[in-house]
Amino acid sequence: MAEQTEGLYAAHEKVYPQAVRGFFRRMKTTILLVAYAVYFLLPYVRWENRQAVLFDIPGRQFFLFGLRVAPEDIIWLSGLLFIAAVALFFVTSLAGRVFCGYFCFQTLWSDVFLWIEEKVEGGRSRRLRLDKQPLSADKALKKGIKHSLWLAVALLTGITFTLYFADAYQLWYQYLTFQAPLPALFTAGLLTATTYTMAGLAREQVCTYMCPYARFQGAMFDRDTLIVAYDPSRGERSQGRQPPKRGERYEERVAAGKGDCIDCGYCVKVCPTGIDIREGQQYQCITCGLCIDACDTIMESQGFPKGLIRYTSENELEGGKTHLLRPKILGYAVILLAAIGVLAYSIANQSMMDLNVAKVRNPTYILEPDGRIKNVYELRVNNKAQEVRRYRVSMQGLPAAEYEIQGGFREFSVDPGENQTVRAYVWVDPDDLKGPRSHFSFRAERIDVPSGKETEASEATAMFYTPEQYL
Amino acid sequence: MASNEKNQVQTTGHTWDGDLAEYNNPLPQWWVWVFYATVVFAVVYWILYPAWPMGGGYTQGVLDYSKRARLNEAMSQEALKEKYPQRFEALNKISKMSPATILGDSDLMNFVNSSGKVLFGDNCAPCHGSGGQGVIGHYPNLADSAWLYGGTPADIKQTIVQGRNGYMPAHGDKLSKQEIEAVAMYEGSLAGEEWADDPQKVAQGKEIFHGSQAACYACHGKDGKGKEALGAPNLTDAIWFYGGEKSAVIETLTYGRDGKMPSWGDRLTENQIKILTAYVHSLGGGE
Repeated sequence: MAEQTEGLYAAHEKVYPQAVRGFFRRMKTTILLVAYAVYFLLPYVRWENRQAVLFDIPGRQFFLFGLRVAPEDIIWLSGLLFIAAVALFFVTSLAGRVFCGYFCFQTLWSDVFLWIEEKVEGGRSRRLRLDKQPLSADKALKKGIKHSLWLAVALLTGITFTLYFADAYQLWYQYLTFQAPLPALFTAGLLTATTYTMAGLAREQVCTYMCPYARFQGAMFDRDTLIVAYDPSRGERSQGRQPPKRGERYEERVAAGKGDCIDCGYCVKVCPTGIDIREGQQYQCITCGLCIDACDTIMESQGFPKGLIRYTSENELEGGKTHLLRPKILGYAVILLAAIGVLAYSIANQSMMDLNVAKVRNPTYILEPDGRIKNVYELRVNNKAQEVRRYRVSMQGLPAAEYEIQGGFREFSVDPGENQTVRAYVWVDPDDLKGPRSHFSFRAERIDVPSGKETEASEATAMFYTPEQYL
Repeated sequence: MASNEKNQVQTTGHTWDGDLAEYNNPLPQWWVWVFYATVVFAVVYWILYPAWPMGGGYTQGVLDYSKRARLNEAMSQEALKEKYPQRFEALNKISKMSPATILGDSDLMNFVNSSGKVLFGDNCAPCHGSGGQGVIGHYPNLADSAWLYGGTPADIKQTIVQGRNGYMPAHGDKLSKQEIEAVAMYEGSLAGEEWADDPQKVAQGKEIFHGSQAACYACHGKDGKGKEALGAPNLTDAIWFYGGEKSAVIETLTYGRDGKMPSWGDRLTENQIKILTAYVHSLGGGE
């Protein structure tokens, strides 16, 4: 009987990423600052007397600058999701997991949390030492400061998220006076907790164990996809990795078959997910390029050519060329542009009104004393504009019919973003009808108040029902 | 097997019948702690909240928590006013208006159409149907424009508040079967029913209708168009409350009819009556 002493799970090894400077670090920092600026400042931007971006859940409307999104515009959301999905496919096929490395919330927030950790506890070696130390006043202080700062950032993140769902200034006032509504407190609390846990404690484990994208992005890769890779042919040559020798010239080194990799391990130390890029492509790699910065720094100091670790493709690594414009990429690009075009057209040409007609089916028809048949309809006119507008409703397409709008409301005003329901009665003499079901339409038109002229119209079809026995 | 000490499960040490031992599989530590936590939770709960039955009452708990009190608070007029300000504003407006003026306000009619539907469903729909279509022979159709007692907002309001008593006397003991059939024939001819096809009987029925013995004209009018003040129906339209077949008309004439609309004045508030008046009017039949 075999003895099973090893557990099912490997113990987690904490990653201590080292700071690095270079092109990709600068790019990451720039994107991070822009993203943070947008996320944290957008709620305070005003637009036409209200918040520029406001997800007004109780009012069932979203405001995005000049655009008001009503529930009936939900189709735009599917358009947006579709565009996001295709954009992800496009970018992943083209340049691998760059979304993960530069734009993902997990990356952006972990990066800031890591920066705080480094500022408080020091560089990689000092952090390693600190964690090995027994608890002392100094250690407790450092850890306390770090976690407090983390919590502060997490709290600000959580509160900022809720600001998008209510008036930011008013909500801040409510937070500061302890009057914030329960859903806001709950949401802010939940986001604070998840931000602290994910960005502070879980960090790279989110990318490697939780993120589903890490699992399926491989399906979008091909041999021309740009990836961060170590060039083993150059790094190892025939003699493998060799530490540098004093006074040895690069040409001598190459002639001796020694690899360019001096096995300094800097690329491993800077990796935020704790992998060794020299072992080839791994799913944990978020292609952030920090190992490129690290390796380039070393190559420069050694006087070796840069690019031992670089953005390249499998084809290029095998001596071929990278083909950026390939059918798959072009296909994605076409679909992406088409989807963006359709969504833009739909938003630009949205109707500011619509008319819904519902037949009153209870009763389906009414026999009047004079022998005519009456059908009743409910017309609902939606005013999607952000101002009061006036509408006129009428009926057409049933020549022999007589109609009346209940209460004589053929013209009425509707408040911004509201709707008005009116009843319409339609009478027809069954002798004038050809069959039990006659189609006709209702029409609602927006009228310009001073001139009384029609500026926009919406039609909806309806059915007049007459039982066979009266035909 | 015996060499693998690590995989050996401990026993409790008790042995029966020489070789029957009992495994000792203790609960996982976390499980035990969760159990203790539930015990602590229960005790804390008993102290804080109403918990133990005590004969006539129960332990109140130090938090003084009461679901019933919270419900009453949530359902108080003030709480509702805060929660549904538009509804209270509309009700406030309605309380100052007559049903006729409510009918002329498109915003209020929006409110009436939704709240009236609920009131109608609760109070009127069991007889008149959810769409006001009525039941032939029992409850009148409120969606057409035939009104026994008038269809103006004031008439409808009066019907709701005071109710109505419809009475058609029996004529079976005053008229012979033949005479009743003749009257039915005449009435059918007034409404243009196909079964009223015997001119001789129609003429005879007309005479009885206007004669002193049956005196149908007294209520239904000389032209048979009915009298709203009495609730006597119009016989010249094709709307038959108790059915338009010959047999149904003969039955009405022979045995009479008794219709009753109950009074709702005591059961509904003034505002509810106004809303229902406007709603019934808007079902389509109002004058």
